[in-house]
Amino acid sequence: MKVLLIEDSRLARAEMKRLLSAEADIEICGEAENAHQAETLIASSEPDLLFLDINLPGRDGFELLAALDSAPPVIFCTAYSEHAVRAFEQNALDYLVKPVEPSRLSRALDKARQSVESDRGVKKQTKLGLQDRVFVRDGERCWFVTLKDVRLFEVEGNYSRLYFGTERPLIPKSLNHLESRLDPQLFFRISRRHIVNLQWISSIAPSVSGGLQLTLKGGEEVEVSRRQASLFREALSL
Amino acid sequence: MQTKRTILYWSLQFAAWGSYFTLCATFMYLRDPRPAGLLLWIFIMLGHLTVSHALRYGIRRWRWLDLSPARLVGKLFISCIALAFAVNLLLAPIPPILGLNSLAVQFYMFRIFVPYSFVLFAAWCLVYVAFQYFFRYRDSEMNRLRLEASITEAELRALKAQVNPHFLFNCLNNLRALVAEDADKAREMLLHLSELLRYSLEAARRDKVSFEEELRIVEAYLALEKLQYEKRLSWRLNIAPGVLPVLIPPMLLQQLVENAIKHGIAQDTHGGEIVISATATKSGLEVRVENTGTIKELGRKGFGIENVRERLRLLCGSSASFDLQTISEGRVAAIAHIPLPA
Repeated sequence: MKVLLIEDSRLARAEMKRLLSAEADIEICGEAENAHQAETLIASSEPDLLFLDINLPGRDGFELLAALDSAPPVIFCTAYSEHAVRAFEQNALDYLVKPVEPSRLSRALDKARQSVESDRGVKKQTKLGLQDRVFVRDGERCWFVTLKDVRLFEVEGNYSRLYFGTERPLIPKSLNHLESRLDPQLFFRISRRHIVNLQWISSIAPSVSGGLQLTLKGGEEVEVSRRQASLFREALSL
Repeated sequence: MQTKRTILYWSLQFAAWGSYFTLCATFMYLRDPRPAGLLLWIFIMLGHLTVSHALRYGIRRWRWLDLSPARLVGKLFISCIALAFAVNLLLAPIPPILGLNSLAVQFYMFRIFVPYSFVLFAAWCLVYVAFQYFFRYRDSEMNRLRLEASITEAELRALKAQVNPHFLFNCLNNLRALVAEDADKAREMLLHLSELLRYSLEAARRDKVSFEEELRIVEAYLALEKLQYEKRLSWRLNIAPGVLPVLIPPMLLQQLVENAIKHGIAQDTHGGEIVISATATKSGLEVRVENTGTIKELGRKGFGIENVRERLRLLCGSSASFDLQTISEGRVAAIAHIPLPA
């Protein structure tokens, strides 16, 4: 399992490397002192797992995750359990407090191995599919959202609004950028305003303006523009 | 609060004058059932109401309630006499207009009604002043309670000015790594950490420490932070020799340095420099902590500034001051003035 350490204190990285050296299957593929270095290393060495300190100089750990197209499994490391961490304890892979207790670390790694194992095979595509996760932060709350749960992406200036469950948070990415990253077989750009997850469509009807009116399983009603309507029919018939 | 009291005032005004004169009118009606008589009483009531309202205006305008009780009573007494004449002069033309009585009767009435109005206004003053005194008492009581609460809060916050847990656990983690890397240095740092912890525990029980003692702890603290930030943290000291024995609140300088690290050094990938200076001024000691960075996030930082300010005031008196300012592009200084005890 390839692990990337993201931690600004050199001694803390040394400590983590020492702890991880006891685990035979762990390979440390890189170390980053800040979010910028981390982004470069994530792109170049494609780690399976991140050890991420939340307090980083410049952009913090959350901002780093929010900037990534898809979030790799993450184990958060922090010196003191701030409520920001507690807020999403449930859906983070795990989080560790420093100094890290070895038995606590191996438990976290076991969880990570399972998650990485189940992701294997599905992954390694250039486009983002249903099993990919995105990190979403809305004020104090954070989620790792699996794309299969996202019904709809809506344009909101340079940002996009995600619809999943009962939540509608914004992510700092444009709809055009998302369109270029999402697998077009699964996520269709129905108009300038929306990208829809095809699996969430419950009914289709012709609309007044010559396009199509979609109803999603979440109850949302969105329109396929006339220009996109024929492409949309093709995509569905495939 | 103010609107509630205004509403209370007007309701009492109308209720008191209204009910009193309704009673008078009823008695009069039983003796002499002419509608003009009833109309007269309505005028009398409106006259007294207007004049008493004018009296209230005067009391508020010239702040009579701030006067000593004796002077207040004097002023009200004279006002009541004057207003008793005024209201009856004002009302004098009404009875003839209503065709009620002749000039002679009117003159007789005037003699009776002036003392009568005086008694009414005096009673009015009594009620009005009693209410005002009661409100003042209650307001001052509330202010006192509020003040007490804020002092307790400040004291609690002062007690909380201890070692930040985030720093502590990072420090312990770094020490754990240092033990393997450089055992001698780790032993030295452990000593610094125990010094700092002992000092911060004692700080809760001590009001003042010498600047020298505080500075020694700050140096220990900086050495420990250096483990976390390494090349990213550097500092300079600029201490006038005379200031070392000056007494300051414990953990004050430490708190300023900690904030400088948190908001200045930790935010920048290249870190920065902290300059600690202390100089003697005419009235006491000026402590200055400069760091690279900018002032932002006014909301939360504003609270931090208030916290330090309040603590200084509590421990060093009202002439102590604290301020945070941008001294040049990318440099921020926290400046505390600590007066010498008189």
